[in-house]
Amino acid sequence: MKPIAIVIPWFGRELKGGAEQLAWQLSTRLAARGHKIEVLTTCCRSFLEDWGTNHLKSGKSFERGVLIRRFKVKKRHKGKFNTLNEHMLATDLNQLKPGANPFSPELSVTFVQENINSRNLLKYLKSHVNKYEFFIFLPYLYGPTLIGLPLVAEKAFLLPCLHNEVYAYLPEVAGIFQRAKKILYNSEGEAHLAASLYGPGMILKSAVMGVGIEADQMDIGQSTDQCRPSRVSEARFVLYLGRRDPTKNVDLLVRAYAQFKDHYPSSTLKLVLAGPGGGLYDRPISGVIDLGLVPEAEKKTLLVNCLALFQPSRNESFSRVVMESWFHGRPVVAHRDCLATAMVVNSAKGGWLAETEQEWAHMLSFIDNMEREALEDAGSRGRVYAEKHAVWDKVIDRYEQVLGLSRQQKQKRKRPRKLKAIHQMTPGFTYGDAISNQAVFIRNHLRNLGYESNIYVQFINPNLKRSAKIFELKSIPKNAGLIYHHSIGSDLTPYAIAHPGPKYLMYHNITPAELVKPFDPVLARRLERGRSDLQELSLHFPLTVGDSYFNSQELEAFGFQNPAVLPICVDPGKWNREHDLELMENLQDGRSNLLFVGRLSPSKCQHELIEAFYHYLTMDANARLILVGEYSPSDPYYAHMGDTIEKLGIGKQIILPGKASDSKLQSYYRTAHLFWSMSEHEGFGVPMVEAMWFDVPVLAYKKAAVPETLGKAGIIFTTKNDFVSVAAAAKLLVKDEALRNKVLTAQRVRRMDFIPEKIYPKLDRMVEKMEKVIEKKQ
Amino acid sequence: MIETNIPDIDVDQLMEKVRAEVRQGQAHKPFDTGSLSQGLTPDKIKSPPNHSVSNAPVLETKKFHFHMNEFLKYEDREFLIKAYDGILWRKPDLDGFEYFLAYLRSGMMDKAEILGRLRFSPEGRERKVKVSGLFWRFLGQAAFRMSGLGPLVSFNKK
Repeated sequence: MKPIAIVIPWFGRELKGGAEQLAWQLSTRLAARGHKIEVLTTCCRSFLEDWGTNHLKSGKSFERGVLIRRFKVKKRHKGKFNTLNEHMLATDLNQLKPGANPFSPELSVTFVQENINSRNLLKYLKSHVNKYEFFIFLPYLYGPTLIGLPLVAEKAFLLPCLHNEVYAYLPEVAGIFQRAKKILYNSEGEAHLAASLYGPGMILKSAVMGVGIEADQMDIGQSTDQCRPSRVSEARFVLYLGRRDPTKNVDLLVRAYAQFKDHYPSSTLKLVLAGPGGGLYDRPISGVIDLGLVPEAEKKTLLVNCLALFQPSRNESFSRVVMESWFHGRPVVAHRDCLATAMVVNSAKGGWLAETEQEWAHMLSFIDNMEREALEDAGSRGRVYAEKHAVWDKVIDRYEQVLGLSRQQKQKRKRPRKLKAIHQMTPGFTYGDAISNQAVFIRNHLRNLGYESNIYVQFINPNLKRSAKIFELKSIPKNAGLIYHHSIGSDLTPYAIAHPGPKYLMYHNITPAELVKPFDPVLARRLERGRSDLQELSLHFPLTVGDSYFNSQELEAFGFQNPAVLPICVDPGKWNREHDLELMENLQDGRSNLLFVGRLSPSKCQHELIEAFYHYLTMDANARLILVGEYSPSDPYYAHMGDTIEKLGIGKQIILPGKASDSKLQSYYRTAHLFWSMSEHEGFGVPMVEAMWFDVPVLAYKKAAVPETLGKAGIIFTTKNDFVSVAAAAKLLVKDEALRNKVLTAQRVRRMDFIPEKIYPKLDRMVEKMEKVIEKKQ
Repeated sequence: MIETNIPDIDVDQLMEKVRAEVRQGQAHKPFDTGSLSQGLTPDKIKSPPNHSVSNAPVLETKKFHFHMNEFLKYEDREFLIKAYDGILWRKPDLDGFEYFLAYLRSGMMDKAEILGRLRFSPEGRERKVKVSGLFWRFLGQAAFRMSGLGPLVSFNKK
């Protein structure tokens, strides 16, 4: 195996930053397990030094089995960067909108260009892509990562050490998250934050690795009273460990303590602060003991003897002191807004959360009055979590597994094959269409399995000629396998019937003609033809599959034997691309966005949605309804909808953008508060699953395959007699946080049923059946 | 009417919340739409609506000149919505809507009179929307209600 490169602006054993420590531990521990590791870094000594100065020599050196290559940094406009940085840091976090650039494009480009950078390092990356197995970039916000990662994107792993700060909102940062092959996180909360900032494209390429703590060096369990500082020798105290400055929210904690003491002046509980930093906090408030930076032995003593650790910081991607506290069996109180710490505290049940000053003050009194045993119980639960997630050996095991370095990884066994080609046939091929997307997914998998595979169509958009081919009489050899997609009457159907080789009919359902007949009689006739063809087709296709159980049941009703189910693959990786920045900005204006995605059609019942939305406005006047979907201005149904809008006088609250590009559609999904469907007919309902990926709760009418696709997620309504109540349910899903969270939690589970890894085995079974047919024939 | 397979959600509790929302919403509700969609069929559609369709929200353009027939073609509540929108540029208030609807349905007021009352109200005079054919018709109706002249106009109408 080729060497693995770790790219970081500063590198050295003595460096104290979280990312630098992680890079050191990761590189040396992987090297100790026999992997070839190189670190590509700069000649700048540390984060604290001038980023335009070369303190160290360029060239190669070795340390603990790791080859370090240092490159000279380039000169930069330090003043320009610092002014810009101050401007950025002054931004109110509450004003930031995911997916919208908080600054002008020029400013964010300057931030990248005047950051720490090394031209030589970038040149090296560009010219040595093939020398390395892959590259790990960390952390996310410096030049070598922001400019370097895109140069080797196909081999790039990003270890971002992300937290919710202004830099995370820059489009250049979003770009590296989207382009990285895989993203490695220190905590579950960090992964969650990335998905909320950069979209669902993050989800399947994410892996939570954890960070190790040197538990063996902490003398856990040993009494260390002799190291106890004299000022806390007799005190009952809660502890803050870490940098003592406002960015870590220490001020909030001190104010909360003052509030607590105002209410309980006789309490003996003290607040002890220990760690580096300039501010002194013990002068104005009695009971606050500010120890400053303490030696390691003293820190351990404090952890052993405190009642609980208080971690008020909102900016953590992983909090080492939380794990240290748990290793010592002490519970933790963390900030509810810090996903990284809040999620681990919740998962571990090793403590509690607080947000406002009042809550922190309440938490102090809660700890003050709690029985020692209850505190110890919470601490023990934390210890169990820490032993599982924060022990270096286990963390490195996870890295080996995710990076593909583990020796035990299975080799895929290749099956013997009789078929050489499996092609697909579908009437049309359109960008963004569910059947076309499924056909591409199937073709790619078949090609990966080693089959020759093409998609043949009757009609094609000229822009998509690379994805599919026009069907001709000799396109599909007689002995090839065929998957015929049936959804509407087509001139290709007779050729599919006549194909002598093994073949599958894949049924995507046909909209009942009566739903569209009043508006589009021509389409209605085609739909009728598609449905009447089914009877005939049942005589010629012994192998069939529907993309839902609902569709399979329909096949059975038409006389097909034992139809199987192959759900449509809804891969969130599709959204791993740029979104529309302006649209994202405009749609995050404080109004509720209610979304439906689907072509304008009487069967989708957008007109009823408009009517229900009218009632919704009586409960949430500050809302808009966005109906994304293709339409023709001459379509009578469009006129019908327009008429309804006009009659209700709600034209200003409704957006009809037509068919949206992927970048715009992504922006609509990412800013939506509810996906609302009145559709009378769905053979599967891809947009509902897409909404699940975007963490948008789904409210839909119980009809056709809708309840099946939603599974144990989403909310359905069973009647259209009472739009007012449906609108009220919609409002609850938009505004009631507790209800929303329950629905989203269920949707996060359900959406996993449609990822490629879940669909492949079902597709493989179809392939096996076609292979058996050809075996029998021979 | 609400169903879910999410085990954490108690549907009865959810329905109770829905009912509470409905009660709250109804206090602010201008009027009931009935079932607009049921009454609409393609044959009733004259032309595509005058809505701009783009990324921007659909905007209504305000007309300053109508012919009375543009309102008279609508019936019942749809007529009232259209009249309010065209002449006063707003949705009907609950009181006004119920008042006119009751008179319209009972036959005690015809559409022209309602249009006139809206157009020549202080609010309507401020908007200054021109409705061709309304003035004389409204004057006739108003005169009919005036004592003395009423029977005469009524007689002439016959």
